[in-house]
Amino acid sequence: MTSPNHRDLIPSAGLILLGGYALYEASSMSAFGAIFPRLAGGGMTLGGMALAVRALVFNAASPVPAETLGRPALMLATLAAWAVALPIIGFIPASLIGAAAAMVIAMNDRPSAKELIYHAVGLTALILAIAGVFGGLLNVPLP
Amino acid sequence: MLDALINAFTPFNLALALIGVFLGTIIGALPGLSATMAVAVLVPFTFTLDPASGLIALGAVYTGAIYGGAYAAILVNTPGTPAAIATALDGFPMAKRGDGDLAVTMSCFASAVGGVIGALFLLVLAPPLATIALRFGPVEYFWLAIFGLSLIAVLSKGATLKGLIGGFIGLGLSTIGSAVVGGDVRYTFDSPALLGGIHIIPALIGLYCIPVLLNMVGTRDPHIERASAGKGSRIGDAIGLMWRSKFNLIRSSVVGTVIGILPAAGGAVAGLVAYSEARRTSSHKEDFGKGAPDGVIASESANSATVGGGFVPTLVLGIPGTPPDAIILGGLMVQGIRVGPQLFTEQASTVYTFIFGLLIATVIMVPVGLLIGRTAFKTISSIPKSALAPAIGALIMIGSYAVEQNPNHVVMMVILGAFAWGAARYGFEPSPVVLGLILGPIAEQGFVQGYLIGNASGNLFAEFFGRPISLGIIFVIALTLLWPLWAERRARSKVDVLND
Repeated sequence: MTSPNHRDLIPSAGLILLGGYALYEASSMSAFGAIFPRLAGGGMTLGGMALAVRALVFNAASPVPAETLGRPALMLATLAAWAVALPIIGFIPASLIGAAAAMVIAMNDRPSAKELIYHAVGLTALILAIAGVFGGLLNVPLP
Repeated sequence: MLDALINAFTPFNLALALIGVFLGTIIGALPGLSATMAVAVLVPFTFTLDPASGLIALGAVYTGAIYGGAYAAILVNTPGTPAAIATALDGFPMAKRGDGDLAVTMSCFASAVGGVIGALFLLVLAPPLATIALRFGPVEYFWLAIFGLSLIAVLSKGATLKGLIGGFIGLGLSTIGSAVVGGDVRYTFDSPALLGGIHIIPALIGLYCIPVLLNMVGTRDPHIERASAGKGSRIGDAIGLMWRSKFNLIRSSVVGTVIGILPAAGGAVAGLVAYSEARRTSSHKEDFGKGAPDGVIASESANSATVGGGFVPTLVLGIPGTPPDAIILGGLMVQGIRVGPQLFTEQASTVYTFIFGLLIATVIMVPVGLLIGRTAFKTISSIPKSALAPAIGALIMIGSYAVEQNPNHVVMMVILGAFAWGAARYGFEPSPVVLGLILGPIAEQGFVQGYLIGNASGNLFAEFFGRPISLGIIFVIALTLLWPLWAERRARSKVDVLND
């Protein structure tokens, strides 16, 4: 028997909950409409249980990733805010702000003023080019 | 036929093929812009051309777009089109270790070979192949989808349980929205945004690209290894590898052509099936998923072969094999061309000029692809992360939005990306989820329709297990699942004999 703090216990608990919810919802569907939701829900529940049993009995832990969480979490928050802001303030303003934030997050060393200007000009040009290609050439109505 | 060949070689048609391939490659390389969109955007420009020239232009755009999807798959792990899903599995690991230039060059040659083989099938065997495609009913599609799902065992990279769970998660995601049969509204939380289900393009971008973007900012390592000075496009290396993998190349091209002929199967399924077969028959199975050139060759030759294959039912039966074929079919109708078996006799000149034009466009793709590929690799490998990350961010935002001009898709893409990144930290790969998401609706529709037909005819068992094509697919499924076990057992017994 291994430690109950095994890493795979977290996804297994999530899978059992998710699968249970899928099965519960499937009970109110029509006979044909419920076949695949039941299959998916049942598979997730059983898979979650198997993962838990394997974690507790056989200790087949997945390796802990080496990367730090701070910057990826910040980048994820930036992408989420960017996605939400897109229809509200429009593609160009949202992308300029989002790209600037992403640039700062991705910088490992303090940039020189010249580098910063080059990056800012390059990204502004890229965003305007994307807007031009999609909005002008391909007739995609941009927000 | 000679007249058609000469007609295809007119400077005007050659120029159309060149421009079409160039535009198609660029559009296909941008995540979110699929081959369907490339063809749809450019189809109005062909209305003023004569039918054969219009068809050549559209065929060239389609060919270029399918190939262009490989760039983003190899260089940023984001399949530019769904057809390039399997390309990312080995293409990106190749780029990470510094062989991105080789992967891009190889994908170009493999796409050209696949495209030529697909077009040759179209030229020589179109009418008989189309009649075989007509024999595919719902049950055959169900078994084909199950075959695709059996590839999870291949894509799991040694973590079969987690791969299976990923497949079930994908199946679950595919059930969101209105049911394909019956119209049940499932797992929408009363939100209209989820009624249409999860669109595959934002899902692909989120599941594949966001984890790469997040990991990119999480470490100081370069995104991919830089191009080595003086290596050029590594054409010699690529040709050498492809010559060693010639059987894989030809088999994958034939697989792609045959799957392209089946309506609704498409390049993604073709690439994955060919990838699976390449791995099953390889003597270096353990290299797949870690940057095996054979994986890139299989996927790219198969997805490009679907172009020629897809035109078989489109031209002979009027049934489009893939979504871009449906748009091209619409374009043909605007031109006043009636498709059907009589097309190859009544409008032989137009059809054969088009097929030769498609062959020429595929060959033109080689220099165009090498040029764009070399530039793309050099650019992406030399851009610092602080410029690459925001650029990818802007592209994935517009890519997810542009598919249906739906801001909800962008939010969905970010949510799926966050899920994929979190899941990857616990050892779950995105490919089984994608497989479940793509094949779930095909399997569900086939199963329910097959069940209804079998029930009505009073012989459910025969409907699912008594049809020759179904039995053939079931045999291949069994082979895919059991072959690795048999091969392992045989290898073990050989070792035992040697030890004795």
